[in-house]
Amino acid sequence: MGSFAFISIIALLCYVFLLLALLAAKKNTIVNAFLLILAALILWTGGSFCMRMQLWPGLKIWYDVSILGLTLLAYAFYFFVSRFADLKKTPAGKFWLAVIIIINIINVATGYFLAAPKPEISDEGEVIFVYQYTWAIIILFGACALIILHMLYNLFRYYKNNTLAKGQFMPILIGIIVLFAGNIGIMLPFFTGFPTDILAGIINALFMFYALYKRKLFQLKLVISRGTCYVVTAGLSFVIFYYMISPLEKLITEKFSLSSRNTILVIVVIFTLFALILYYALKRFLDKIFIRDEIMQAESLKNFSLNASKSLDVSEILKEITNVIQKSISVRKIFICIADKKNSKFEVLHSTNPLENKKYNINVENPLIAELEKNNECLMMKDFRRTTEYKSMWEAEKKQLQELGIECAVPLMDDSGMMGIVFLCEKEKKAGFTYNDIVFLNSVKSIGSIAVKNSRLFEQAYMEARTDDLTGLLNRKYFYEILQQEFENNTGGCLSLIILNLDDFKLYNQLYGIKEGDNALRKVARIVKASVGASGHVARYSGKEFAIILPKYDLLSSKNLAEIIRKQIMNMNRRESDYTFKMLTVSGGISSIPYSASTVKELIENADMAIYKVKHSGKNAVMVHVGRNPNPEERTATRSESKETIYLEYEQTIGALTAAIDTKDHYTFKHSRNVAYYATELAYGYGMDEDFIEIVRESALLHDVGKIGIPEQILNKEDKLSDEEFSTVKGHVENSIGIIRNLPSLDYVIPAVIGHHERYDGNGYPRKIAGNDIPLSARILCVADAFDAMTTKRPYKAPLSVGESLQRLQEDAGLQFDPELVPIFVGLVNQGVIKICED
Amino acid sequence: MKFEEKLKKRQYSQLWQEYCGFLDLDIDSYMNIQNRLMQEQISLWSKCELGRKMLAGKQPPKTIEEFREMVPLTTYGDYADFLLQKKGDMLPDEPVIWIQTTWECGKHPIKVAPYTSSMLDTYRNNIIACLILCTSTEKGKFNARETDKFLYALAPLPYATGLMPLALNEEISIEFLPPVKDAMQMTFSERNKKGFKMGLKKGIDIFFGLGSVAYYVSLSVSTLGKGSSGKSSLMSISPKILTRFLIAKYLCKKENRDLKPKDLFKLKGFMCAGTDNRCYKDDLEELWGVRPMELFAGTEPSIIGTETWTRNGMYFFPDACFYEFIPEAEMLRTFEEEGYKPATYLMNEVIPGQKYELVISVLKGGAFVRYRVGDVYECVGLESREEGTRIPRFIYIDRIPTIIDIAGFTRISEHSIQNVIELSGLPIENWVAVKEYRQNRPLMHIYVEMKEGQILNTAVSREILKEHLTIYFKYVDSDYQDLKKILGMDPLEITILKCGTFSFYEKSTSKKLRRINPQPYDVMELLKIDKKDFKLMGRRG
Repeated sequence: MGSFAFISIIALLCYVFLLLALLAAKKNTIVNAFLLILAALILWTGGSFCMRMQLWPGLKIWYDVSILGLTLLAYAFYFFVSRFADLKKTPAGKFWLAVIIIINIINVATGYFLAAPKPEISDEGEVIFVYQYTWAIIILFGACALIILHMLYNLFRYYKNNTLAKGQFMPILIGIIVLFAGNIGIMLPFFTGFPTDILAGIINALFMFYALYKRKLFQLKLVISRGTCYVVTAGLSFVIFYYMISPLEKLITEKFSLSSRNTILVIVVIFTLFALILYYALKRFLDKIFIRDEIMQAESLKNFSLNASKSLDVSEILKEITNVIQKSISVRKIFICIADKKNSKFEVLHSTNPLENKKYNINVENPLIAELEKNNECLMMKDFRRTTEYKSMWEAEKKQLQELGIECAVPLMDDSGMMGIVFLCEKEKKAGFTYNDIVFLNSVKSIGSIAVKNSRLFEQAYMEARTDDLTGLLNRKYFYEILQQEFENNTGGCLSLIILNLDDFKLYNQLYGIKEGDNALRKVARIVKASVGASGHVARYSGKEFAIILPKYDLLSSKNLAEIIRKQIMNMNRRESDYTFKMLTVSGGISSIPYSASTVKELIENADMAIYKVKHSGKNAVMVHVGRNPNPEERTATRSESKETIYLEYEQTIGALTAAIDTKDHYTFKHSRNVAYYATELAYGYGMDEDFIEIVRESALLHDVGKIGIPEQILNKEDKLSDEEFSTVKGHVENSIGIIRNLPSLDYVIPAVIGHHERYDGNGYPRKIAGNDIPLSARILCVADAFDAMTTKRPYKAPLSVGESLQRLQEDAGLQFDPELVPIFVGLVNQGVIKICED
Repeated sequence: MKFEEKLKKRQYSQLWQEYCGFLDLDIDSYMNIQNRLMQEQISLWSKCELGRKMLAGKQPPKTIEEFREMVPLTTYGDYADFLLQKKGDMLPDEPVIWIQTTWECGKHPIKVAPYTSSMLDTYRNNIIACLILCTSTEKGKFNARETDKFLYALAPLPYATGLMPLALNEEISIEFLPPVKDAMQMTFSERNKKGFKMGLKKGIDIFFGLGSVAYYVSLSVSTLGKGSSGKSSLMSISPKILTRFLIAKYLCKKENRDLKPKDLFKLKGFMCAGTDNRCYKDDLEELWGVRPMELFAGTEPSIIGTETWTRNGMYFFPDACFYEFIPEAEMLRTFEEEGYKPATYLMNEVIPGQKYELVISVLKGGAFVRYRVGDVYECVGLESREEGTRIPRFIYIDRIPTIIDIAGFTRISEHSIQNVIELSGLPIENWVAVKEYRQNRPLMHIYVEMKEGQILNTAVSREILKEHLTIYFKYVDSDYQDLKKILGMDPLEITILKCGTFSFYEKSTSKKLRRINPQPYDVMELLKIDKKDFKLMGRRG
């Protein structure tokens, strides 16, 4: 091959160049596999070149090296393809490697497969190498061929399952084909003496390199690539100079007939220019091909900016910040501290190490904060230590920064001041922060600041819209939203609701002042929240009511939880060294789907109901709403005795009020009693529990109490009422509420009283609500009220018969009356369960 | 990175900023540092045994105002139980070294002060600031280098002055003359002799000493080359200094004057400390060709202030102590009325032209809070255009009037003089002691009145009294002895007043004269009475 030796040298240089370039790159398994190919190629080409040149230490050794390279190349290809296709590691790989090693060991020791060639002088006087082939060579090349076949099989399998990868693998396939072609070419007479195999090796390596580049697997330091450029330029120039100098000299002296002195000058100029061009060409090649640090940084900044702008979640953004920094700067640890709500300290919200103790916080008065705020740029601790501000650092603060190993602080700021700080610890291998790092950090700072600001604003707005200012619990609006959500999420499962109502809170406020009252609310909120934890949602349901939504809680566990909370609240103020004993108790009502309610509305109503029950039975207790009784008759038996005990307290108030009505308007007094009778019977018939029935009874007795305020002449007017008079009469509903509202212990009758003139079709008064929006108690009252009004005599009308009245009720079912209640009522009257009151 | 490494990297402007940056502070930033560090100190102090005892069961103060309200001003006696027994674990922070000094001559032999690790860090930084400033000629320009030779005419450990070479050597390998290790074994004069001898060999770049001592030491240069011992010492002089010496000798002969240190050494920096420096500064400048830069350091407060390149008033370091100032009138009232609580003012409340007694709370875990150091300063300005500063500037006046300090050596109180008089057995009826200056040198002038009945049978001439009392002063106060031994000073002056002068003074002015440093006009009044024939006047009246 004589004069073509330069091809081997160029091939070697190419491989070494790629090897050097890749050694500087960030390693991964694919790059490592490619390095193995390069190493094999270098061994093969280098070994064979040195052998042909018969260099020291001897032909045999170089021959063995080249055979090792050749056989290793097969394995390297196999390994590379497995890694590139990301195939599972199988024992086959290790097996092939073992085969290669064993073959080589045997061959080195005995020359069994293919012995080293012997140099002979050919007829033309050139040195040729004669090989002694035996059948054993089949084992050597056969093994290699098997490995390559296995590789091709792998490639084919991957190719089949992964059409997207076709483009990626194309260069590798072409490279392999070229390599084969080159090795076949060596046998063709046309290429005699020309090392087509080596040339093919170069082309193959370049194709593979291209494949890696396409997969963006490189990240290279510019400095090292420049060094590589120098080395390769020098090597290539030397080789070319060595081979080209004599032909060039010949050319110049013969064609241009220059003197030998001038010839040297021209050659020197030509080669200087050549070397320069070569250098720049290589440099450009490197610049183009390798993704350099800066580009990587720019890329990651771009991605970071994109990701950060997509998210409104602070913790996600903080994660993005640490990710982008760690990708570009190899720091051991990063902490991000964010200002707390009061802006009094910065707390560690995120750290690269999840196991890190996050209890550190940095006081807002720390001089470090002032320094960061003043300069609004990345601050190196070693610089900070030299400032006058550092003089005012407390020893504990200095120690804290030292313990955390913080070397650099990056402020996150907006127009109103510092929002947070990113702390970077020591870089790996104790490398210092470079100028580039600082520039990069300042870019991260700018993007990060905006992202954190936006997400914090969003979070704040989100929280404000959903939480109660005073207690920090969910507000009523959000409570309904969550309850609905949980209801939908728990179809088929259970969902409990606890409502806690502070007892006599108005009195508490009056005794200790509103400020103390607010404190108590905060404390209660804390207790409830701590007790519920992550198993439910806590809301401030109304001024003095707290609601707890408990998904997957049944009645028993809800009751236990409610009891625990109740006891805690009762003992809440006990420890205070106050002169007065600020006892505060709570009444709790529990309702649960599916046990005692089936809709959200029912759930809330029933929990409310349970509270009324507690309030009646002496407060400071928790009660569970059990639901409608399917057998009303059974209830009746248990009802009266409990009624006596529970409602005795209120009976007197109601008695006093009804007595007042009696004095003013005897009819109304009687009417109220009748309505109470009809309504309670209807409620029993409908299957309501005793507490509900009691509320209905009391509501009925008081439903017209507002008539006290209506002049008698209007009440007893025989003629048709004028519009004005009619609106006065209509006003009795509000009057009733006005009176009842002053009796806090009876406020539970308000829903029934206020709604008893509402019509089912929505044309009633005063609120014009319709259908099931009208409380059940009011709908019951409405039927009972109308029935009594129809069957009794009034100055302006004669009484209707029972039949007629029932007829009217049925006609207006769905218009004025609840269509579900009317048939029950009619049925009860017809069955004689409801007796008609005497006029 | 140490100071020396930074010097080698030639980061001069950063170094100036790091160590002397406090000179650029405005008063608000200055107070911010003071307040923050004081806050830290309050929290440390309130938690320790010492603090709890001083608070006597009261809730720990939360703010500096509360602290100043709750904690009374203190003197060493308040700490003696804790400190003299070195009960480190009862202090705000564990001390790493105890520094010692004389407490009150004749009464208490010594007092000790604890230094914590972070106090020493601050001390180190501030002493480097002094080093930088003493070699500076204008703002930002200084000439301290690690190869400098440092002549050091101060006492070694356990005295506060001994900390300086140790602290400096941690940061920079300046060579001390003589080396610190050797100096500890030597007597004062040995140290000076050795220092100078080495200086002649190696040159002297920086000189630091008590003003009075520096002056005394400097004078000894003029004896160089005189006598036989001088001849032999000439042999070890470096060629450079020898040339300077020969030229100077020639010039001195021509100008008919003594040899001065400036003829031999070109000082880069000159620092002095102690009292009565203003008596010596001009002479020292004349001798060395460089005006000394005064700095203030003490055993209890550590190093707290320094002058700058202008040598025109001192600035207090913001991170060494928390400073409070008692105005002069308030201070004097505390001497008259026992139990009087004087008002104190902070650094941002001082008024130029006013004299103040300094009260310090040592920061960084120090033991002393609201401690009356016993020094009086005068505020000379709130800002300086020349230096570009915006913080108050002070000059050192003297010890508080109840203490007589001569040249930074003695601490003579009423008790010590009374003690000496009693020991001497002299029939002295009454006396006052006043610190006076003669030919710009401090002295203690005692005006005595002898017991009328005993004058006849005792020899009580002025000389006898002076001799007698001097002997007893030396006996009870080793510092007093050093005045003579080291500085060759004899600072006692006696004036005998007529019998009955004091009682007549008291009768006629109806006030009692303060025994130590009474107001100058009161002394004048006393002397006037002495001249009058008051006994006659008394009879007539």
